[in-house]
Amino acid sequence: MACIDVQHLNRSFTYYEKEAGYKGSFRNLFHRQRKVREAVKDISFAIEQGEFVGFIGPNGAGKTTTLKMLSGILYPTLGTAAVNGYIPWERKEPFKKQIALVAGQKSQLWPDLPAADSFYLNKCLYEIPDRQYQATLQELTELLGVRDKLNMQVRRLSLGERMKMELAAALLHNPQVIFLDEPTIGLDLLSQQSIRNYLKEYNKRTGATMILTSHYIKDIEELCKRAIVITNGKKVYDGPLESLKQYGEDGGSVEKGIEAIFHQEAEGI
Amino acid sequence: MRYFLSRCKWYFHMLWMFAKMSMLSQLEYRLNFIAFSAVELGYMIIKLLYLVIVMHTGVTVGSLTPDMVMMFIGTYIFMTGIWMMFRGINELPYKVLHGEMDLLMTKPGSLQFLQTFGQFNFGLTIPNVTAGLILIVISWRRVHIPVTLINIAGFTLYLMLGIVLTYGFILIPTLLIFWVTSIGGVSNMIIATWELNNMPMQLYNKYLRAAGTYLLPIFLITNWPGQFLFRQLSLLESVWGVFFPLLLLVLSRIMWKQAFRRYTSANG
Amino acid sequence: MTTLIKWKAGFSIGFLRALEHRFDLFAGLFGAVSPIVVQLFLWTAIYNSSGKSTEVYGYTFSQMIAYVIIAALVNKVVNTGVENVINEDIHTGGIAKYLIKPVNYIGFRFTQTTGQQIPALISVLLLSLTTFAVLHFTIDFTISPGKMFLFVIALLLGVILNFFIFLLISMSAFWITEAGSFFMTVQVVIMVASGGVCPITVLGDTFVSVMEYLPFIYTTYFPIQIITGSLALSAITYGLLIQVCWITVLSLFSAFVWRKGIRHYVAVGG
Repeated sequence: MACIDVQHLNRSFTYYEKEAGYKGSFRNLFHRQRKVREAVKDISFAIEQGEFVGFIGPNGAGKTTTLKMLSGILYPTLGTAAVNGYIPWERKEPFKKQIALVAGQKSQLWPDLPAADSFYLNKCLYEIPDRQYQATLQELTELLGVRDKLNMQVRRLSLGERMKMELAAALLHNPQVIFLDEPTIGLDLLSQQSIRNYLKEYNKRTGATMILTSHYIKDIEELCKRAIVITNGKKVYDGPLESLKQYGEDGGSVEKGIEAIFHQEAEGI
Repeated sequence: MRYFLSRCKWYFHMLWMFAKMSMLSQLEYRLNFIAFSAVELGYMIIKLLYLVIVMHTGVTVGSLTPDMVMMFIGTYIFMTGIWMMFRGINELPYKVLHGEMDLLMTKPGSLQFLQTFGQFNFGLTIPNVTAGLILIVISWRRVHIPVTLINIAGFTLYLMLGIVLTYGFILIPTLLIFWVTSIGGVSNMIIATWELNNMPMQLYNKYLRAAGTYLLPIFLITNWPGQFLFRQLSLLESVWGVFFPLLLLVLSRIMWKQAFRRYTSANG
Repeated sequence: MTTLIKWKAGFSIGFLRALEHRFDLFAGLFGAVSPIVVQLFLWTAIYNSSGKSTEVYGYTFSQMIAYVIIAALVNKVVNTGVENVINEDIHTGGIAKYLIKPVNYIGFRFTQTTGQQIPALISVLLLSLTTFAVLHFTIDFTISPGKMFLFVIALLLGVILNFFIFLLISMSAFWITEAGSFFMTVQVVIMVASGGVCPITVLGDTFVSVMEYLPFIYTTYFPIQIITGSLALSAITYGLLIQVCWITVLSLFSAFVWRKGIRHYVAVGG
């Protein structure tokens, strides 16, 4: 039984077009032009427990939308999905306790209080028993190397330190499925590397299933054995990361391989 | 049953944590805290002006003496403080428009609870609640209301129900953000209707009183506690004063669920 | 010549922006109706017990009602909100870009603010005329065209005076970074003290005598009094002169404070 099972997922957004200038505003008063954007078109895949999968694709390709559907934030327009046996968008309590979402630009920590306070809040939120909480907290903060910053106001931390705290906060309840949406965006190279190491180690130690979207090829290369490439809402590749290399001109780099696939898709091959 | 009780315990525990962390957060910025209090004290001057005029001219409002009017104005100021407290509701439009509800949606517990009770702004609340309570107590004594169990229980009940009404009254129009892109005008309308409660409803004519009691029941919020105390509530009004707040709570829950079906997050 | 063109540009920017937000204007006017409703009922109740032609706080019933409505309208015109704009400029450092432009910053803000208030002024005048008509037929309220004219003059001067008062207040941001957080309180207190909610006579005789030495009542209370009070022509002229005096005094003082403030601001690093 696959941990994550996605069947023919579809998601479209309706929006209203507005012409520039006064003419457009005036016309909008009477008749709005309704447009539909298909963000996700018939995507299917299955992921086993413990896999570390990378979603690759250009901006607006649908990878983040897919991730949001798997974490329960969005409803699909068509299709189904199951994560650990639960339908994500029903957002049942047991489901929420098993997953974690980490988004690069978004924060769940209280900025004016020390990270320790936000951690304790999560402990209460997820009803983590004392012993387990202490042990996990110790392990996480040591692995990430932020133990000494626990009692510092979050807003005083550097961007890299803040992201590490976010990760620790997200993983306190030992989730089995972790969604990572651009976790290293905007960070300095050193922080990016230490977070990468941490995620790899975490996946090995706990066997949690992890899905990562990132614009940084290094993230994907170092962490994911399997890649799912999504462009224009469609899944165009699903397989080992290594095999992507052969699509490229020189056959030696993943990046070139991905570019080639985008190119193929754009040309309609 | 056991499960229900343990869930209740969880919610109360989380509520306490959110309140504590909000307070601690705000205390980090003492100046902001003082500034918030100053702003509310400024607006309170206008609210109290009405009281000053009533006390000074000695006018009777309906069947209320100036000392009794004080009870209502005190309740009004108290409730304004309660309104100001719901930072979660006030921030909802921004968060919805910018797709910032994502993380919260993945957390355990009811999303409505997490968002609307997840953050409090006590800086604006404390001056109003304090001043309101002071006026209520002063009025209570000047009107020589006996301090019996019934009086305290009934008064507190209607006060609590007023808080429930305030919650629904500001939440429901705010949820319109899911259907409209800007609710500046709506906000203004809420504030405008709220200000009618500055004076007891007995000041107004019977049409306005009826409208504000049964059509858009804002008068229940600030008038029922005092009117209970002065034994000026009919049986129908007493019952309606309990039934409608609970109804509104249910309505706000339904509307919340409907609204969040339309949540599309920010595209990315 | 070019300065004139620049100032005209500043004026039209303010004007257009205000037009765009006409919905907000409407919603804001709606918001102003509520306190009027409360006061209408309140004063009716008060005058019912003492008699409609008696004077309460120095006003007859029709005068008081007229006061309450006109005050709400005058507030809309006279309160420019310029202190928030300037505070923003100082805070974000945006003021720096004006310092290097060959335009006098205060002059620019002045024309922009007055331009911004013109739509409000026009709608207020129209509403005032409607109000007078209604009040005339319901509670026998009368006003002469001469007084209307003087009212408009006093209103214009009131806007200018309000601008300089709040310009000075906003310049405190040069020295105190957190000054902006207290602006709202200051706005409300000044509005009440200027007679924006009810006649200042409500606040007591001592209060009135003190306020007569300060500029605040000349932004709101004085213009309203032209309409509602029984001010003789000489008193009105006197009042207009006082307005001009205060404007002169405050504008000179502003220039002085500005120079000091800018020096301090730039020295501290802006």
